[in-house]
Amino acid sequence: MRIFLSLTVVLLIVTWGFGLMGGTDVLNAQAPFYDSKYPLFATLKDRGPLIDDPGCFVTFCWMHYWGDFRWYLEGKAEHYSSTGVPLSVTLSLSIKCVHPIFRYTLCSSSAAFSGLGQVSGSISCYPAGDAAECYKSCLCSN
Amino acid sequence: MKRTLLEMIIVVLFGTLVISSVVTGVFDEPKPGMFQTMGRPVRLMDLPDTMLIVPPLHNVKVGKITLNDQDFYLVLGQDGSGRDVITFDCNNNLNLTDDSSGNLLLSYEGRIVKLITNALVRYGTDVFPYYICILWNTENGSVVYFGLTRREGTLVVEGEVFHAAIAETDSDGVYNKENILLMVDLNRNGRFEEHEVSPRILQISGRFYEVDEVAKNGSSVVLRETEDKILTPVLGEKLIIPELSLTDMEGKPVDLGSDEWKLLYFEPLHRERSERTLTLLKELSQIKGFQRIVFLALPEEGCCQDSENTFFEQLKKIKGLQVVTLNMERALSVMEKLSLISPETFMIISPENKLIYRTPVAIITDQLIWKAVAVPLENPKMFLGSF
Repeated sequence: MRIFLSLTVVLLIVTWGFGLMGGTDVLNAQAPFYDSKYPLFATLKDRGPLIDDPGCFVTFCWMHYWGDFRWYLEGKAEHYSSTGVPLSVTLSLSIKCVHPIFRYTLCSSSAAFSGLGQVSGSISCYPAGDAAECYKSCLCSN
Repeated sequence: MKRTLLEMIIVVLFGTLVISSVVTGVFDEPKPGMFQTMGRPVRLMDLPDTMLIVPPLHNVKVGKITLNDQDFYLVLGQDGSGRDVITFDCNNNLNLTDDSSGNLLLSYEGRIVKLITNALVRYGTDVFPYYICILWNTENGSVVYFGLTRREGTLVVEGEVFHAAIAETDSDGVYNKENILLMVDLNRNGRFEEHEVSPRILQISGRFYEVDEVAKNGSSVVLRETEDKILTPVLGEKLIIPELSLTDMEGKPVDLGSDEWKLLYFEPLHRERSERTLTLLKELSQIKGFQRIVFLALPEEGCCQDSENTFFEQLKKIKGLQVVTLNMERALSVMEKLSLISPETFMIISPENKLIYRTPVAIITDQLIWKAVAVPLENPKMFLGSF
């Protein structure tokens, strides 16, 4: 009788464990990140991030001479969770043009653009001729 | 008696030492013509904030330019024939109808109206012209200006007199040692070449001098000898290579003064140019003459990290190549010390540290806005073939 009871308990635990493995798969896709359905494993899940957030990325950063003493910098940044949820993102653009030989500043400009999911922006540096040496910076923050 | 004599000798020796380490420059009447300097925006108003006499123009806008803390007014508008014009109050008498002689050139370049003019700026009891270029973008209505003034004169170094010039680069009408460009015709060929122009340090007769004092109106300058060195790129001359403590990507020191044939290549990286740079460095590594090839790279900030990593991994495979990456903060100081030019600089240095080749720079002064342009190497095989 004692052996039978022990086997039943073991069987119940194993069945419960398999149920949880299926839940883990779901968790990686669309399931809520807090899941206390399986209290034994809830502790393990709590160690992971609340949101599966890969961070933001600068996806486009292009500087070009437009003519008429004007340089342009265009940028784009994206920030989505791994499940595709748009998250807040700020794109900081800055451009500085210097004399190509003697390196004193001709013009400089910077701006920040904020949004959800995807954000883009452009700034210009004026006046700097086509021979100017211009440096760009496109940085994103969450 | 003996002690007094000794003291006098010491004072004279010390005086001689101090005097020989000081160089003075004196500059005369300002002249129009200089490299483009820093642009400053002009805030526009629909109505002037003081009583002005203005020419008959339509759609008038008024702006102010401040030079040495003095406000000068400008007016934009269309004349009777609908032509866009800029007028500037050169003599600062609040009457913009009596300045025609001061306005040197009104021209049109695409959507830009350009006026080269001068402001009579007061410095204490003296008044000097300060030449400026005003740019009006008629498409978006923005107006900027920049200084275009140089003062020519002489620089005296240990009794030797050189033709020299000074200009200020931040367009505020005030000369100070952080924002000037000093030009000295060291080889007396009647023009200023790249190695004779510097914002800070010049090598004169084998010694290095740094700008120490500048008169606010640019009429004089004092240079002092300095331990700080910059590479002075004169072809065929032995280089004094400044200490920089450069290390390559593998942490090995980079010795630019070693007694071997060296090729130095500097390039700010752009995604679209990386393939060309890689091909170029591969080609250069095939040349047996060079015992050391150093590539100084300035990566793009905040861009293309993955492609850059791939690029640098490919560079690591090139035999005999040392790659030094510089961040923006470090790059400006290294560029100054090694006289590196953007977009690219090549330097071939002999085992005796003579400069055999360097990317040539053309200084063009036939227009009021001077140009200094590096002549990049289109076909590296052209000069490598003769090496």
